[in-house]
Amino acid sequence: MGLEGAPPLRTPSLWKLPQTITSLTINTDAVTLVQLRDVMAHLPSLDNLSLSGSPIPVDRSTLSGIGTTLRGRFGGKLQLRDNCVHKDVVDLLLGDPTGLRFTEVDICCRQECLLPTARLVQACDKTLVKLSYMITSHGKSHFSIQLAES
Amino acid sequence: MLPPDIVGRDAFRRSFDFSSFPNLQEVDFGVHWVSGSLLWIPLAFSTLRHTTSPRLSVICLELARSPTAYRSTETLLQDLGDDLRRVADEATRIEREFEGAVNLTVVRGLGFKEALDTLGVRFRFCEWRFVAFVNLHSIPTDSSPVLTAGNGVSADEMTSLC
Repeated sequence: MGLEGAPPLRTPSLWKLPQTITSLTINTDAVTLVQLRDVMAHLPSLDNLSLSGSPIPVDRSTLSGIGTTLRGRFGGKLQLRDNCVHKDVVDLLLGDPTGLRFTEVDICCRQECLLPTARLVQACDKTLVKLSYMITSHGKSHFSIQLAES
Repeated sequence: MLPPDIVGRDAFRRSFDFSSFPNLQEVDFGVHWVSGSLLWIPLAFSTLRHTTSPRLSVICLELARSPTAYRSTETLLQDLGDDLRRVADEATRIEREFEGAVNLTVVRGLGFKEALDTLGVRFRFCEWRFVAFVNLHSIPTDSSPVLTAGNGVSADEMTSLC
């Protein structure tokens, strides 16, 4: 279930995140894409990314060039679920100026999202080893955030 | 091969294009509660080539249809028959091109067995869902992780279900 009505998380830029974090798993129900970007931008060693839930909508003008401050390695596994299989999330990731190098992409969505997914997969064409693309009727997952260090 | 009218200029804007994935080893596609066209699957399969993805070894396809849709084989074939036939054609082409064995498993039920029988597609069948599994390099004889990766059922279990 989402956290509708709950206040958004405070600005992630205030967080002190270890630079050695390599994996980020987050349910986006209580954050905006800008806040999500801010978290990711603080993690230069980020290899594995798992996003689920539905990000809080924001003014679309704030999404222009949203991914240009990303600096993760993005060389591991990407997992997208629920409404994170969306053009705006894909644009965020594709905005990374150093490019995506995921070796595994695992997409599970509730309706066909081929266009953004195909763009995302194409961006990893030289590194991708495994692709999973599943269309299911599964519900949303619960709020959670996990960080992992190597 | 897909006919030219299917592989049009804009076709791959609606599917995956694997024509430049040199490290690709495994592709898993799944559609649970099938509705609408499955054309994107054979479109994507049609771009899997030995020359461009030489390391490809596993393709797993899992389809399960809605209990409220396609109550008869006829309606399923009417809506999905062409797509399923193209999936089978591409699987056959991939098997030939990669010079390996193709092991396709269809889980019996909800019309898929009859539909694929009608199409003359050589699948194995199990009980309640449709799973097509393509192993391009070899057919494992034990419960290898390759077989369990796509559908959670070991090779022995799958065989016993069929």
